[in-house]
Amino acid sequence: MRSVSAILISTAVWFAPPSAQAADPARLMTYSGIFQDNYTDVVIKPFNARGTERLDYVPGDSSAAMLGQLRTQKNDPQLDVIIMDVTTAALACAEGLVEPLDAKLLPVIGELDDQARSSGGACGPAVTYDHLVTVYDSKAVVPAPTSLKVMWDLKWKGRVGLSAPPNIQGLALTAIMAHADSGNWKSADGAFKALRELAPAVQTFDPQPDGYTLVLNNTLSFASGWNARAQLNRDRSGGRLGIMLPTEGTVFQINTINLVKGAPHRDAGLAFIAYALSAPAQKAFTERMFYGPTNATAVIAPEAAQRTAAAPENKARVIPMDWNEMIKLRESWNQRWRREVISAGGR
Amino acid sequence: MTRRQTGVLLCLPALLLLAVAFVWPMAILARMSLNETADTGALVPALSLATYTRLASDSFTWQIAWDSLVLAAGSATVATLLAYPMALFLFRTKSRYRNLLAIVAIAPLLVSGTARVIGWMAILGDGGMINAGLRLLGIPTQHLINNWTGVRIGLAESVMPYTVLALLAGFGRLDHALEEAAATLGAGPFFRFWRVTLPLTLPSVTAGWMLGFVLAISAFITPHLMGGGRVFVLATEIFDAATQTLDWPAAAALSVAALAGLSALMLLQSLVARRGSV
Amino acid sequence: MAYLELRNLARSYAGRPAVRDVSLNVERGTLVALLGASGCGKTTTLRMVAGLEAPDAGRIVVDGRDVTSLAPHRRRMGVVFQSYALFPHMDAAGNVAFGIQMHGAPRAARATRVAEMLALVGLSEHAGKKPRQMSGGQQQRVALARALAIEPDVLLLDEPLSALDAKLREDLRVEMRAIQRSTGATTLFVTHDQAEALAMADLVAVMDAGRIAQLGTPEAVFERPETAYVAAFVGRSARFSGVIRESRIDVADISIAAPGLPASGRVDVFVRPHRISVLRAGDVADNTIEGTLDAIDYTGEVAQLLVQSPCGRFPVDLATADGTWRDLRPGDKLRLGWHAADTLWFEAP
Repeated sequence: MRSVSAILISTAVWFAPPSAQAADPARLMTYSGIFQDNYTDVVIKPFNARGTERLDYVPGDSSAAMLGQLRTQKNDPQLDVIIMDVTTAALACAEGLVEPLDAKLLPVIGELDDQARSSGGACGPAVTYDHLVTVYDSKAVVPAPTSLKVMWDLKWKGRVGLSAPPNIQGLALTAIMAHADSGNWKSADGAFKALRELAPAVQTFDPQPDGYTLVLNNTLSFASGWNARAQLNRDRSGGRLGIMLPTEGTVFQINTINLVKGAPHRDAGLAFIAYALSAPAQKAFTERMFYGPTNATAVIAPEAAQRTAAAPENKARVIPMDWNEMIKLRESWNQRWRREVISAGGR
Repeated sequence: MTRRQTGVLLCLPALLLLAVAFVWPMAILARMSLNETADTGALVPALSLATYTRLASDSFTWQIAWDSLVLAAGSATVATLLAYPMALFLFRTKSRYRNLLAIVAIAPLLVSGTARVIGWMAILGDGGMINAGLRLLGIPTQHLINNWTGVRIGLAESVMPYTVLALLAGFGRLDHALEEAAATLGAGPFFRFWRVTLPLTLPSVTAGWMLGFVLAISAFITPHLMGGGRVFVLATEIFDAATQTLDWPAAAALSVAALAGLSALMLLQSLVARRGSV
Repeated sequence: MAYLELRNLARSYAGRPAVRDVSLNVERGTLVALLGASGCGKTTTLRMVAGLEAPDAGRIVVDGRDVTSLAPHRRRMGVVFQSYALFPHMDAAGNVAFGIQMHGAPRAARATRVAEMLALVGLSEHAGKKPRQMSGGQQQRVALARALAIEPDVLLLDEPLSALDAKLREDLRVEMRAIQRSTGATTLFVTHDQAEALAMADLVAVMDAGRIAQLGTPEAVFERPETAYVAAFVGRSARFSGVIRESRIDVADISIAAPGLPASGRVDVFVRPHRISVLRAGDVADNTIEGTLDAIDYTGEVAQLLVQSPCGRFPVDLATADGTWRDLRPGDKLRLGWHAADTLWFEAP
C-alpha cells in the first residue's frame, strides 16, 4: 500500500503546475518564436540590466490562447504583463481581466501617438504596429506590382493565397478594398464583388504553414501577409520575397500592452510597461524586427523606417479603421466570405 | 480486503485519471456553453441556452454537421475498403517479414499530422507528383488539394492505420481451417471469401469502420491543413470559434452537441451489433 | 485397379521431410486407416489427397484420373477436420447445404439432400442449431454429414474422434463405421489411436517417419507385425533383446524358443501380454521365465501384471474370468510361460 501511495503522490507531483511566488521575477506573456528571440534581445535584456526589477518572458501561443490563460487565471493571476492583438485585448479589457491605464499612472503614455493611445480604450495602449502587405515572388512578378489589382490578372490563376476570415488578415483585406472602392471601409459590397471575381484564381484560403513559405517554395505567386514577418523573410530569402504596400492602402495590426488585473508583481509590471513604451525600447525593436513604433518621439534610422509604417509616405497609406468597430462586423463578413467568396472559388 | 474491494482499488487510478482528464473538462465545457457572447465578442457569464438556439437556427451549422457526417462516413468507408485486403494479407502471411510489414502498415501513426500534410502537398499539389505525371501524359491537371478532394484523401489515409489495427484484432476468430473446409466442399476463391471469410470478419469490419468514422469526424488537422480554407466541418468550426473569433460558448456548445450526437450513434451501433450477434 | 492410388508421395517443409515416400492403394468402398505417432506424416498425406497441400513428388489418382494438380474445390473430397471446422455463422442445415450449393444442385434437391444427411447422422431435430449450441458429438456428426453431402469420391477423416471423451468416442466410431458402410464411401482415416484403427479399418497402414511401415488387415498388423516399430507401436508387448545361439534366443539366463530363426545374430523379441500365462507347479511350456510380481492392476476383463525378471520388467495380461488373479500379491514369485509360436522376433538394427 505504501508503494502505491508513493506512486500516486509522485504522479500527482509530476502533473502539478509550477506556481508563482512573491520573490520571483515579474512575468510577461507574449508571442513565442522569432518575436520572443528578438524582443528578449533588444527589450527584455536591457530592462533587466538596469538592475532595479526583473522580468521573465513566458512564451504564449496565439492571442486567443493567451486570452484563454487570462480567463482561467482570473481568480489567481500568475502573469503580470501581457502583449497581444488589440481585438483580443479589447475582450480582456471588457471582461475586466486587465487594468485600466492612463497618462496619469504612466506618463510615457503622453509620448505615444493618438492612435496608440486610443486603440487600447481604457486599458493598455499600443506597443507595436504592423501592417497588412501583399508578398509576391519577385522573380516571377515583374515589374514590381503597386496595386492589389495585379492579382486579378488571369496569368496568376491558381497562384494566389488569401487568408480568409476569421483570420484578421481577411478582414483587413476586405476593409482596404472597401475603402478603396467606396471611401468607407465598412461599405464592402463592392469589395465582395471584386473578391468573388478573384476567388477562382485563389489556390488556398488558408495558406499552410504561411503565405511567405508558400511563395518561397513556389506553390504560390501572391499571398497576403504582415509586414514585419515579410521583411524578415525577404532578408532571409536574399530578396526573393517581394513586398507590396499597395496603392489601395493598408491597415494596422496592433499589439497592445496590458497590466494583468491582480498582478502579483504590479510595480515591476508597470515599470516594464513604461520601459517598453519608451523611445529607446521602441527604436531598438523597430530597427530589429520592423514593427512600427507607437512612441512618437522615437527616432528611427531611415533605412529601417522605410521598411515600416514609421516612414511618412507609408503612414499616409494607412486607412482609418477601428478594430473595435471591425469586431462587430466580423461575424457578418465571415459569413459573406464563406457564402459569396469561397463558394465562388470552385476547385 | 474482499475481491470486490481489490477490484475497485485497482481501477481507482484509471477512474481518477478519467475523472480528471475527461469528466471534469467536459463539465467545464458544458458550463461554458451556457454562457453568452456580447456582440463585441466578450464573454458574458450567464445560464442560458441562447448559444444553442443561435447555432441551431443557423442553417450553416446544420450544413457543416451534415458535411462532417458525410465526410467522416466516406473517409471511414474508403479507409476500411483499403485496409481490409491489407489486414487480411497481414493476418494470413507466413512471411518472416510479417512483423516488419505490420509496422510499415501502421507507420503513418508515427508521423506527425503536419509532416504528413507536407508529404501530401508534394504528391497532390498543383505542381505535385500526380499532376506532373498527368502533364507528362498530356492529361488535364486536377485540383487534388486545398479542397474537399484533398481532405477526403488525407482523412482516409490518416485513419487507415487504425482500421488496419481494428481489423487485425478482429481477425483472431477467423480460423484458416474454415476456408480449407469451404474449399474441400467445392467453394472456389470467390465463394470462400463471400460465404465464409467476409461474414466472419464482418463484426471487425463494423468495428474498424466505426473507429475510422469517429476519428474522421473529430479530425481537425487534416481538414484544416489540406482544405485550403474551403472545407468547413465541425472540428474546424470549433477550432475557429475557440481560437479565432474567441466565441467560447459557441465552441463549447458545438463540442457538447457533437459529443451527444456521436454518443447516440455509438449507442445505436452497439444495440444493432448486439441484436445481430444473437 | 484400385479406386484411390497414392504413388510415391513426398513432401518436405523447409527442408525437413514430412512424407518421404508413400504409396497406397485403396479399393472402392473400403476404409483404410493411416495409423502413426504425431509427426509421422499421416496428416500431411491426407492433406495432399484433399488438395490442401501440394506434393513435392508423386501422383494422386482417383478412379484412374490424375488429380495431383487439381485445386481442392475441384476434387470432390469430403473432409472431416480434427477441429470439425464447422461454419460458426451457419446452422447445422446451412453447414450441410454449403457443399451441395457449391456443386450447383437445384434448390428442391438441396433441401431433400440436407434432410437426408441430417437424418443419416440422427440430427434431424437440430437442423436449426448453430455449432456453438451443439455438443462435441453433435458437431462431429454435422461435420460428417457435411462431408458426405457432396457425395465425395473419397471421404477423408482427420482424427475425427480425438476431441471427444472416451465413451462417446467408442459409440461414435461404431456409428461412423456403420454410416461409412451404408454409404459405401471410400475412406481414408487418419488416427494415432490404434484401438480406433483396428476397430474401424478394413486395412491399416502403419506410418513411421514419412513412410508406410506395414499395410495389412488389423489382425495382420497386430498379430504379425513386420517390423519392430510396428510391433512396438501397435499393442503392448513384453520386450527382450537377445542373441541367437543353437536355434534359440539367449536372453540373460534363459533361452527362448521361436519359429524360423536364422543361424545367428542379435534380435529384439516381442511377446503380447495376453499370450503369456501364469504357470502352476507342474505346468510345462515352450518358453518359461521366472520373476517377481511388481504390481497388479484389475482393469475388468484382464488383470495387468508387471513382472520383474533378470531379463527386465515386462507386462502380462491375466484373464480374470477364472478368478486366479485374486490370489496374487506383489512380491510373489511367479513362473510364466508362452508358446514358441507366440514369440515375435526382429533382427536388431
